[in-house]
Order: sequence, then C-alpha cells, then structure tokens
Amino acid sequence: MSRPPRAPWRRLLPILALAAATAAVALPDPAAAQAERRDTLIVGTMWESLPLSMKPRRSRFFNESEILDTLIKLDYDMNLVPGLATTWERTSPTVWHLHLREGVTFHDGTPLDAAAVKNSLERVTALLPYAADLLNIARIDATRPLDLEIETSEPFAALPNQLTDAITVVYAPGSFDAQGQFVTPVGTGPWRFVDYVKQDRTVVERFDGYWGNAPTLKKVIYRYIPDHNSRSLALETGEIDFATNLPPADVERLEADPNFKVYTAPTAGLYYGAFNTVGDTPLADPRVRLALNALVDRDILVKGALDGIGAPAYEFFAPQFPWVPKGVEPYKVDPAEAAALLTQAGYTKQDGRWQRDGKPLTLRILSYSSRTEMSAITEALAALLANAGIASDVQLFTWEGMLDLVRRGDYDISVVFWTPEMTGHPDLHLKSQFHSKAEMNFQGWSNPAFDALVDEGRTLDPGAEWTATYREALEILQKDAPILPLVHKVFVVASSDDVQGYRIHPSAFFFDFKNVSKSE
Amino acid sequence: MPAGLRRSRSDLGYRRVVLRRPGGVTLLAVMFLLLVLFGPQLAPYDPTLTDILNRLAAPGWDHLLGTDAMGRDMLSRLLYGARLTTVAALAVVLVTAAFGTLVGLAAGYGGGWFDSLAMRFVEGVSVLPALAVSLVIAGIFGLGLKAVLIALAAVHWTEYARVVRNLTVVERNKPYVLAAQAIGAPGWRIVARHLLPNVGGPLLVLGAYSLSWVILAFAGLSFLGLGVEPGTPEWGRMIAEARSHMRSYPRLVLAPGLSIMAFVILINLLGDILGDRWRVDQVFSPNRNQRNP
Amino acid sequence: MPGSLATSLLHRLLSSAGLLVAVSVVGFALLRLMPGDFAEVLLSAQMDGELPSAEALAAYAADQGFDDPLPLQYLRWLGNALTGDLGVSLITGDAVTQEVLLRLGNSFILAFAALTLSLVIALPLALATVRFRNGLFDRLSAAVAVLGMSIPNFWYALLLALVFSLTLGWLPSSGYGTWQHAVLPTLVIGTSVCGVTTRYIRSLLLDEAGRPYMRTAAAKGLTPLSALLRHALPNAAPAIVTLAGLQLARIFDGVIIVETLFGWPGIGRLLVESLLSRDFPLMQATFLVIAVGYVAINLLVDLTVAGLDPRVREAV
Repeated sequence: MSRPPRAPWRRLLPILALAAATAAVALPDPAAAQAERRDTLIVGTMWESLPLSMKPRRSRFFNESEILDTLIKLDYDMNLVPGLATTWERTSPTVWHLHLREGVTFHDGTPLDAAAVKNSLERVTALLPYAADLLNIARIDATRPLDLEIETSEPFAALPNQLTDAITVVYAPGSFDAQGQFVTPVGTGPWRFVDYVKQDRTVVERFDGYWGNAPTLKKVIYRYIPDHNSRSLALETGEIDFATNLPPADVERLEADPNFKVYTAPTAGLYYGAFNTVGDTPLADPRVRLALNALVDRDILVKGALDGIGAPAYEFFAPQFPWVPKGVEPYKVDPAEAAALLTQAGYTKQDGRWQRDGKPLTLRILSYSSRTEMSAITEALAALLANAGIASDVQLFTWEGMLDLVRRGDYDISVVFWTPEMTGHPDLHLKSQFHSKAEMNFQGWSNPAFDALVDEGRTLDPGAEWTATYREALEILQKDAPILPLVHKVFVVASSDDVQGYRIHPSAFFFDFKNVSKSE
Repeated sequence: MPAGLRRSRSDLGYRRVVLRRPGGVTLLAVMFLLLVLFGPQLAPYDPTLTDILNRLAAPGWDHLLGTDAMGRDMLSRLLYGARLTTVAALAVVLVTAAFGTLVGLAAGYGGGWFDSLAMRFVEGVSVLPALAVSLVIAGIFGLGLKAVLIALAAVHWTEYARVVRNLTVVERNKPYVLAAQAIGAPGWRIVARHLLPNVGGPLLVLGAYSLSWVILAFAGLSFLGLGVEPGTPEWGRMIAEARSHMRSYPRLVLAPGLSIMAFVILINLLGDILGDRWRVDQVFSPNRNQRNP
Repeated sequence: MPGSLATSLLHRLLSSAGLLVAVSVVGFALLRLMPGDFAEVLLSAQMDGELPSAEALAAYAADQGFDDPLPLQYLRWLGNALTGDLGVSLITGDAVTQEVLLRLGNSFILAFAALTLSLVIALPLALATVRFRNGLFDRLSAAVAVLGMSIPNFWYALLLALVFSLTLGWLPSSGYGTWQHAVLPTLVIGTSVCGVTTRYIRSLLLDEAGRPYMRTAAAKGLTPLSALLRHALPNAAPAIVTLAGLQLARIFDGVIIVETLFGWPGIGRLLVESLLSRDFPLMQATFLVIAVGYVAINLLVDLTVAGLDPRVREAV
C-alpha cells in the first residue's frame, strides 16, 4: 500500500530560500549607487543617438551632446561666437580665413590644428553629400598650424553661419579608419563618447581636458525611449532626470507638480505642410495652395493639436529672430477669399464639399509618428480641412517610410518639421529645400526668380541689400505658396526638480549640459 | 426513415437557441445588435465634427461622455466605432468562413491528395504567429484599411478549414451519408444538403470566437497605426490617440477600452452558449494532431 | 516498434523541412512583391535616395543577377540566406542578419517567460478546477479565461504600466537591461493568456479523469488530488506540451504589441518599424527569422511529444 506522496511544494522550499538569498546578495550597494546617480544625468530621447554612424539626421547628436564642437557657435541670442575658430574673416569674395583656438586637444590626446580641421571637413563633405551642398567648399588649405583658408566655389557670405551647423562638427583624424570611413566620434567637446548599447543608450563622460568650462556632472546617459508617453512616464517614475520632446498634453500636469520643472521657449523650427507641386495633384495649381493657406486656422490647430504650446505660423520664418527681414505679408484666415480662389481653380462647393468634374477634392496627406507632435498636428489639419469641405486621406509612417513615398511623388501634402532658423541665416533652408536644384527639394517646386534671389543672397554681407534680397525671396515664397506653414516651434522639455542650470538654446539643437548640475 | 436522414436543416433549430435561452446574455446580445445597427442614428453628433474650443470637456448634458482632445463627442464616436468595428470584423469573418468552409468540406469529403495538401498548408499556417504574418501582408499592401482586412482574412481562413475538415471527416463515415451515397446522390448534393447543415452548428460557434479574435486583432492593428486613418472613430485607434491625455483624462482611454472588452465578452459568452448547445468541446481540442478524431 | 518511431520522426522532419521551403519561397516572393521597381529601390537606397540613371540601373540589375530566371534567383538568394546573408536594410545600409537574430532572441526571452508564467498559474488552477468540479475554481477560471480572451492586450498593458510603474513604483516603465524590465511585459502577456490555458488544460485533465485507470487509482486508495498528480497529469503531458507550443504562437502576437509599448528591443517592434519605414528587405528578414523560429519550435514540440508518449509515436 503506497502512502500519499508528500506535498510537492515542500520540495520547493529550499530552492526558494536559495533564490531569495542569491537575490539579496546580487543587489547593488545602495550608497555607492546613489553617489554615482547624483553625478549622472539620465536623458530620455525621442530618437536613437546612433553615435557610431555619421549619417542620421546630419550627425546632429554629436553637436547636441557636445561630443564634438563646431568651428563657430551660436550664443543664446543666436549671435555668432567663437567655437574652435576664434576669428574668421572674408579676405576676398570667395575666400575665408579662419584662425583656430590654441591649446585644444581631442579626446584621444591629439592636438587640434589646421590639418586636422581640413581633414575633418574633407571627410565630412566626402561622406555626406548634403554637407558638400551646404558648404560649397572648393578648396581648403592649412596655411599655418592654426590657420585655415577656405575657398568657396562661389561667393559665399553665409559660410560662418553654415559652420555652426551640426554637420560641420570637427572630427579628430582618429575618428576615421584607414579607408576614410567613419568609425567613432572623437572630438574636442566637454563630453567624451564612452559606450553605446544598441536600441537602449549612449553614454558620455566628462572630458577633463576640455578647452572651455568643464562640466559639473561626470556622466550623461542618453536613453532611447521612442514612445512619447513612455518617455514622460519614465520621468515621473524617476527612471530618467530629463525628458526631451515632451508631449504637450503633459505640460500642464507636470508644471503643477513641484517635483518637476518644465522648460518651454520659442526656438528655431517650423511644422509645415509641404505641397507636392508637380504631377497629377490638385496642388499643382497655386490658387489651390493659396486657398489652403487661407482656410486653415492655425490658432485653432495649435489649441487642438498642441494644447496651445506653439505659435501659429502664417509665414515661413519665426518673427522673433532679429535677422528675419520684416515687411513680408503673412497669410490671413479668410474663408471667403479661399472660396473665391477655389472657384477660380475650377472647383464648386456642393453639399458642403468641394468638387470638380463630379469628383470630390481629396488630398493625400502623409506624415510620420516618430516625432511627438506630428500625429496630432496632421490629424488636426485633416479635421480642419474636412470642416471646410475638403476631404483627405491620411497616412502615418516613420520618417524614412514617408520619405520613400514623397520621393515617388505619391502624396499631396507631407507634414514635416524642419529647423530653418537653426544657423541664424536664411540661406540654410531656402537653399537646401526650396531651390529648384536642391537635392532635398522633393516638392518639385521651381521658381527661377526665387532661385536667383537665393543665389544672390548668399554672396551678400548683412546690410540693406541683403535684407531687400531676402525680403523679396520670402515674398515670392508667400505668393507662390509651396508650403502651408502651420506652427512655429515652442521647445518643450522637462526635468526633475533637482536639475539646475538648464536653459533652452534657441537653435533647438544644443543641450549645453556642461552648465547643468544636480542639487541635493 | 433511417435516423441519420432526419438531420436536416430545420431539425437543428437555430432559431430555437435564441428563443429557448432568454437569459440575460441573449437580451444583451440583442441590445448590442440594435446598438450596432442603429447606433449611428442614435448618435447625437457627427463623430468627426471637431469643436476645438470645447475640447476635453467633462461629461455633461451637452456631451454625455464628454469630448476628446479635438472636441469631438465621445459618445457618438463610441457608437460609430461599434458599427465600424463590427462591420469590418464581420466582413473578414464572412469571407474567411466561406472560403475556409469550402476548402474544409472539399478536403474532408474528397480526401486524397487535396486533403493532405490542404491540411499540410493549414497546419503550416497555424504554426506561425497570426499577427506577425498579417502585419507582413498588410505591409505589402500599403498599411491601409483594405490591406489590414486582406491580411486578417488571409491568416484566419485556415481556422475554419481545419475545423470544418475535421467535422466533415467525422460525418463522412456516418450511416446517413453512406446511405445517400448508396442511393447515388451526387457528391456536391450530399455536401450541401447533409454535411453542411451538420457542420453549421459548430461553425456558428467558431464564428463567434472568430469574430471576437478579429475584433481584437483589428483593434490591435489600428492601435499600432495600421488600418484606419488617424481621427477615425475606431476604438483601437481612439485608445492610441488618447494615450497622450491618458493621465489627466483617463476616461478617453477607459471608455473605448471598456467598450471593446464588453463587446468581445458578449460575443464570447454567446459562443459559449452556442457551444453548449452543440456540445462542441472537441472542435477546439488543443490536440491538433487528430487526423481521425 | 522501433521502426515506426524512426518513420514517424522522419515524417515530422520532412514535414518541417517542407514547411521551411514554403516559408523560404514566401520570403523570397515578399521582396519581389514590393511596390515599385525592385531593383531601382535597392540601388536608390544605396545611393542615399538619389534616383539612378537607366544605365546604372541596367548595370546593377545585370550585376546582381536580376535578369536571370526566377528559380535561379531564388536558389541564389537561398544560398545567401543559408550562409547568413539576409540582405541589407534600405534605411541604414547595414546587413540585417545579426540585428534580426539578436532581436529574435530578445523576443523569445519574453515569449518563454510569459509561457512559463501562464503555465505556473494555469497548471495549479486547472488541477484545482478539476478537483473541485463546478466549484469556485471552475467559475473563477472560466471568468479569468473569458476576461483574458476579451481584454485588448494593448489597453491592458497601458493600465498595468500605470499601476505598477507609476502608482506603485515597483517596476520600470520601459526599456531593457535588467530583469525588472522584463517583468511588466511578461506579466501583461502571461496573465492575459493564462485563463485560456487553464481552460484547455482543464479539458485535457477532464478527458483523462474520465478514463478507467482513474477509477482504478481511486480504488487503490489514492486521494483524488494524488490520482490527478500521479496519473492524469503525466498522461496529459504530451497534449499539454502541444498546447504550450500552440500558445507560444498566440503569445508572440501579444509580444509584438507589448514590445512597442514597453520599448523592449525585440523582433516584433522591429517588424512594425520596418513596415512603417517601408524597409522591405528588413521586413523580409524579420518575417523569415520569425517563421523559421516557429517552425523550429513546432518541430521541437513534436519531438518532445513523441519522446514523452509511446502512443503518439504510432499515430504520428
């Protein structure tokens, strides 16, 4: 006769006890961890930093995080200030002379000299076609150890501004391998690249040999949290100290919470709808484009899509920047005017819907969800158009997915975000996106008068002629309406309340964490 | 008359199920059906009408469930969502049921190489995660609503094929079928007049569970950003879009989520009742290696 | 009979091999079904988005063998795939194989953890349900099953994240790196499928409980619970293993959603991203890897079942 077996769970007890003991031993020492935590800033970012690649978003991360420096920088008033170059002078219409800063070393110990800068610029223009377009460099010479001469292929007064662009950061020769391919970011910045875990984090540490004010913090960890709501949740649970690109919906709540600080400031940046202007699209007709600009009430859009955090945009450049030429007439919301334009273009309104030849006016709108606000803005745009009787067919992809369709011309409006004011000079965006020959002009928009003005503008020094030229170019932009400006960017980040010293930089791409510290 | 031949369509008494089981569940089912059919007429507002200045309003007499971030009436959106979800899911279920049943009947009755081939194919598909495969199919077709419906149908029909085939195999060897064959009735007639009614019951049960799966899969895909457009009053999409305001306005996420859950629970309970009626436990037996159940 | 074991194993292996071939053909076709001219898209991606000239395109097509007959292209592609070359991402330009395999591993960590959790809950619950038939456990497990089948898993994940991360502060809300990061995703998937798993195991046990040997066991003096544990459960084991294999596919669907919400770097999230990025080679690679992984699991399950139960060897 067999006995009933012993309860099986009794056999598990020793195993459970062992597991508990192991867990207790494996837990890290709390005191040491806390000290390190105080010297570390954990930042939650929207996009992966990808420090081992030069291509993504024009290597913006290296400049944002200050692993590398640009030759010239912008201060908090968007004035050009010395970076790795202390002076710059235009010795002839096509030649610039730059004098470099003394006593600067790269993270690997090699000194910064003109040869290194020449090598870096040449590598950048070779590896990134966009950079070649931007800088227009015909020849670079290291005339003396700390002196650089740059000759541009055409007269280019805007070169110093372009040299503040993140793509022009100065890489040490050790950043490239024997074949000239990019390997790792070795720079002159206050932060040294230390570690990268794919899909998770990038770690930088303080570089004590930095040429400027050394940071207070010892380490910054950039954690990749692509889901926008998870990112702000991570801030609230204490997993990160600093959340970038905060969803507007969280601003009010976090501002009311004493444990957090919310920073908002207008910066460079414009959300706009880029029109497809060629091919079989209703937007090939400029009257339709102007009608849309007169129909969409950006004030309502900002309230509905962004909880009011943003400035309604009725013109291209944000008006708060002093260098923007004044006197350009912004769009006005005028439904009657819009209706007149659409009628001129051959559309009639029946049962509240605009149509032509029996087919309703329908616009294919594309955007991307990888940036926080795009989905809401696109939806709001579609809703406002629907209220006005224009149907739409909206699809969201990632940036690359949308770009694929845009390149094929398979769209009517693509809602995008760019930072045209980033370099403190109009040339950046006007030349690289709206010029008919620009590589990134996916809209097919071509206006010879505009092209001529932009080509002229980059040769002029700031002054009356410069202002007049760019004003005229912007007026063409308004009248021919290749885009639907929507919202001027108001930058939103949040941190826990022990983070001190952070300030939003108006270029929107510069964290400046060297001034940041954590209080007790 | 031989006992088997009495099993014609009317004997199974589909209508009797509903009437003989008046219980709470059936009542709710009828109510939901009415909601789905007439919901949009009941909706006080156009679900896509935005009223930005009145956004995120709390529930009140104007808007019984409040408004969302764009000022659209929540109640109306939920009602329209019921119909949209049901219609889309039904479309998928009907197509997959029709195709799958056809294949299952042909395989089960005909046997031979078609049976082996079909069942190998069905087994193969059932090994793979359904959502993953439907994502890939949707990706090829452009991620829109049509793409999603095609993708779900392409992945789901095998469920019907397998169940129907197994049932057919069981029925095929029963006396009444053999008798009909002996009389000389043509194959398709046997299938249509004798086999089909007998698989009808379990098919209905499968249909109920299948509908609930499709509804959840569809909601999941719209949550991920496929299928319906942003702004469409579809429950899964509504949850995705309300996430940013979830912390301060949880009802925006709770309402559509609870709607999905209530809907699906109801359909599953209906499936359970139908399942009891036709005693179809074996149909869903986890042991799929049954060649001869 | 040892002969039939070998035959049945061979049968199973051939079956899986056939499935793999079918999967590979589908995988190969996927890239060809991509909208737009297939060769142009690939070349254009290499040129950073620029559209290639007609001559460059023709040269590229000839060089890559796109003018060859399809079966030959398929075999060439298959050869590449078998040696580890699954193509290059249209977005990053990097080879995808390593990334995709790493991510598959991450996903399987979640999937197996969720399966384990669901079994850990389901087995005792099913036993209790069968032991105390029609009692509280029966109704409880039925209710949990219905709830688990009816709750949208993405909604459930949102709620759990709020409760466990924010309100209680016990677990990280997203990310990857420590075992704590895996708890929430596992909890979401595991608890949502455990109800159905319980009901399935319950029905399997009930089948066993009705058999004559159980009466014999009772006659021998075994308590109902012991009889279940010592006889019914081991006999139901092959079917339970089969069930676990099936549930793993179901669980993977949940993994896809949960990875997106919790930022878990798994292959489900990669698949969704590749769709939204229109990165067709990456999409193809993720599909292949998932499909092959599941065919392998299926084979493993079948072999385990065969190993466990002599009766099954005959029927297979």
